[in-house]
Amino acid sequence: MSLLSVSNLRAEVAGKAILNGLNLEVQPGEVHAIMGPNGSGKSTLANVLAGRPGYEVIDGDIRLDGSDIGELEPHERAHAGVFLAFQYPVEIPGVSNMEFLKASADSLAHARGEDQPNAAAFIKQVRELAASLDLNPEFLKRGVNEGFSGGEKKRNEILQLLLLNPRLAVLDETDSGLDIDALQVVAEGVNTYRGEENGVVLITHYQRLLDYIVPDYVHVLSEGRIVQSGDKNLALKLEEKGYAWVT
Amino acid sequence: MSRTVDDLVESNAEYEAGFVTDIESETLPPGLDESVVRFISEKKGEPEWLTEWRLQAYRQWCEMSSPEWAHVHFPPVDFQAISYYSAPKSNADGPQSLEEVDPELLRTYEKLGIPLHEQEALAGVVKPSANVAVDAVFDSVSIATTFKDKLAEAGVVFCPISEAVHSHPELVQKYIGSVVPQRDNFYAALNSAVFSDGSFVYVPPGVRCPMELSTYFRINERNTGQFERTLIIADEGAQVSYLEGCTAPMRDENQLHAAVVELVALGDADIKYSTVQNWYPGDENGKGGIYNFVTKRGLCAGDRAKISWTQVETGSAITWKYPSVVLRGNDSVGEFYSVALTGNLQQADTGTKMIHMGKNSRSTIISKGISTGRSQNSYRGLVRMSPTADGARNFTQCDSLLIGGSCGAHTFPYIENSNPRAIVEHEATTSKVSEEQLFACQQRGIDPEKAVSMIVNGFCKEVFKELPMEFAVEAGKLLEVSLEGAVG
Amino acid sequence: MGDLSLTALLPSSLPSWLGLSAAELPDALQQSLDSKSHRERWKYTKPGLVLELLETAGAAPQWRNLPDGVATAVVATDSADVGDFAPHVATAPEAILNLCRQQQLLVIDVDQPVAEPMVIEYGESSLPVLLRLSSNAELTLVELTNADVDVHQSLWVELQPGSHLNHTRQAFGGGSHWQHLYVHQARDSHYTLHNHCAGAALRRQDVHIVSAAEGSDTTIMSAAFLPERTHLDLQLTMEHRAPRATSRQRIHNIAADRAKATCNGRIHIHANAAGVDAELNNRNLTLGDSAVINSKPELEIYTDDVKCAHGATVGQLDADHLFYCAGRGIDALHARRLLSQAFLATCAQGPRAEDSQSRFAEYLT
Repeated sequence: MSLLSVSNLRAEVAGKAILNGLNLEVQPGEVHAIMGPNGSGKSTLANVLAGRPGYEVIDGDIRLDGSDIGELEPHERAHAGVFLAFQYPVEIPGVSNMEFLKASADSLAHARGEDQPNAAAFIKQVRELAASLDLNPEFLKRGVNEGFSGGEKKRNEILQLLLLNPRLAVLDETDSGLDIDALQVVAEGVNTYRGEENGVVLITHYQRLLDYIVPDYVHVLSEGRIVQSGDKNLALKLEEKGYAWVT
Repeated sequence: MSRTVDDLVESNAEYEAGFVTDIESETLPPGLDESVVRFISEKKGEPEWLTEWRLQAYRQWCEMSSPEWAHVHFPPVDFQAISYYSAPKSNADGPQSLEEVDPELLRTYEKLGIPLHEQEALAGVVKPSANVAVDAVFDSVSIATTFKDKLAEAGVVFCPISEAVHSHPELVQKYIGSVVPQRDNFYAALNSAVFSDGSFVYVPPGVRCPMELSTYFRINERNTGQFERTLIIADEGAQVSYLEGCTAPMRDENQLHAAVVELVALGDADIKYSTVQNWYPGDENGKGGIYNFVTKRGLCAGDRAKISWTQVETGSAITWKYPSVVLRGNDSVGEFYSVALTGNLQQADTGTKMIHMGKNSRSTIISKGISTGRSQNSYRGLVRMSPTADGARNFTQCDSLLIGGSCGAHTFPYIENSNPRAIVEHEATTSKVSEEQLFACQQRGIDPEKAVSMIVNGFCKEVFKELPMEFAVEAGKLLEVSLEGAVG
Repeated sequence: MGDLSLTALLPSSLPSWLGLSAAELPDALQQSLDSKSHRERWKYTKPGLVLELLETAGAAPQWRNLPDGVATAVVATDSADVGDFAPHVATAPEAILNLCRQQQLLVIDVDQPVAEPMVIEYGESSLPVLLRLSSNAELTLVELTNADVDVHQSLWVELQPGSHLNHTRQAFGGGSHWQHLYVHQARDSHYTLHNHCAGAALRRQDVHIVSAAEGSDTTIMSAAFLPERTHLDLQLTMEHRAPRATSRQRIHNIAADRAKATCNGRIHIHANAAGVDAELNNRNLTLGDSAVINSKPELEIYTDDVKCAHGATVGQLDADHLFYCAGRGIDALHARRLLSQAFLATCAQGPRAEDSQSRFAEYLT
């Protein structure tokens, strides 16, 4: 059974059709890169998978481990195992990072019918992860993404990915706005997460990220459909010839 | 040294028994005139000066009319329909057990994790023993003893104001009405005429009060809340932190509350006054609920004095409350930190006044208003820089959060500056819980109700961090309970 | 002011759009003058002075030019068609009183985009002016009140869908001065006010902008310098009745000597006005030892889906700025002048900006 199975997905934003019959199968252990020009529907795909309000599914199926998640609320999809690394992580003033992470981990544990993680062990784990991602532990006391630089916000997303260890990670242009050092740290995080039990949908505009996270498959999106699929060499070809070559 | 809690605990049984014997004659029929004021004063065995003081207030009140400038609407209160003196509740009118208490209220207690015996005390369940409230709070006599010993050692006076009138008449006479004059406003005048009881605190020069003082520790609280009068004096260099209220909703049958709180900080003294107010707010149709018309004011009388008000307001049908500071001393400091949450049909008109007179006096105002349901939530503030307030500064931050499309958030700040060397800065914003924030929380598995409560708590953080630790935790929980059902 | 004097001021026939008879009007006016909101608007200025000023009969104002596409006519107040934007006695009793008393008003109609600015000069008290811009019409209007005489003037503006009004008011005259401005904005209309003035013996400006339909856009920029014992009381109400509209207000005042500057900036957002984005910023500098600044930025908001902010400051020139100037060799006096001018220039924009800025500079030397 596929980890993620998207079939004939059609979706609208503000009455405008963005996804026009998209199909995608992700097996456990696979990394799929989704590339495409601006406006091709990349970010819409990410948001539709996570169930963002305002993104309306008109037709088609989204299945995670065989069950239809298309009707679930965003937090229920998170409980099912969908993780979205945001392109523009939002600031939540006054809610400390640690408090937020604990609330998130607790609710996911609760959904799995497990006990809440032990607070002391949890804090230790978060601190270690922060250190491995070059994040100053002080940031855990600050409000969620409050006053963070662009790079810090993205690294915070990766920290959450590693901490929550979801079934499916959808990374929405996580590389945008990162300098080369931050990009390597982020890529390293994703590679650490990557494993036989999970899957990654990697949305990016540039080939650069794929030098560090090597995908099993590369898909090119155009006008809300996948128009070409291949291995990592497809990305190199795109880099060389531009999107006009496929679209 | 006055009597402290322990004395009161011991004397209470007798005191109450005395009342019960002739309860019929102790409860006055509704109505207010000079004879009622005299009756109250006489019942309390007050000295003549205080009787006269009350009468003076009464006469002034007769010439005043109730204020109408606040952004609140309610039918006029019939002041002649209220009884101004009633003995402590007899067993006839209180609930006999928790089974008779509104289940909605009990559910809230449960959510707040209030122990059973404390629930009884809060809900006003009548117990044969008069010591219920004390038991509920102290759990054991030893704590009370420690408490008493510690205060006595430090020389701190903490007792009901009705006691202080006898034990420390010179202090009461000197300071009562010195910060909130009798005719300050309509409700203050009424309170001055008929006040029931309240706390009196005196901290001697240079003394740092060894513990947070709280109305929790007072046993005479029951049924004296309606026209409460509190007076706190911190002498030169003294320091005290006072907590008012408790974080579980109080069952109370009085519709009108008109309290007066006066704080006096002499030179280098520091008073911190924290309140959690959650009187009954009325039901979802706006039926019932307390009218909370309070006058709270502090005077920084000496140089470098500091007064800090922190309040978390979630209760009452109508709140009309402006804890203020008169900054008379040079380099004195005034602070106001406020969270006001309104739901259903609640109306809150609250804020502060910072009156700067002293040179280089400083004030900070942080106000967070949260409106939900069909409620109306207003901030009203005044910052006045007098011609003498050279180098004075104020900073005001006033934020409103709206949840739902049928509520209102309003801001009425008055800035009056008559000093060219003073600086005033005021900022206000209005926002709603953003969809992006909500989605970001949900994407990490947090359900919408919990997410809103987290975001609102974050919004209030600047104020909560001013509260004593355990109070802050409870205030957070209280907010969570108050927000229930606010999210559609 | 009692009922008797009110009645004496009023004519026997009233415009029908008022919805009130001559018998009802005095009571309605009195009620409005006694109301809580009226007392708030007149907290820092005595209303009696303005009511006295309003006893003077107004003359039709003079315009320097009449650009093509602009038509004018003096009409009887009761025959003027004010359509659905008729003002209400409760919100502006002085202005209604004035409309009724003057019995005539000047109507200016614009039905196309007009490139040439129209300039009106007020040398004495004026008849009320009703300015109407039809759909997609555009006009630049400049009003000058620079003579040292007592003047009352009121302007009622109706902006039809898609119209643009770029409006400048320059008032540097002394004496007593009452200006009333009411603007009613239809869908996608644009309104900009540049208000430049100096303090006067009495200068009262009542401004009420109504965003009545979706997509309207409002900008107010106001700069004032108050020398000596002069006075300015600016009352701004920005009322958002419709969704997805934007308003920006920026008011900079300097009060010197014993002057008194009052600014009450109110933003009122109605329950159905979702998606409104409104901002007001009032900054004040005090230069004189006995100068008084009163500022009251108000928000009244009845819906959650809005972005709304206001700020107010009272203070002195920024010490860092002064230090920076000193570091570049500019002496303190010169630096103060420079920074004060810049403070006003930020808000003294639009037509007449140069003239107003040089007038401000004169005060500052």
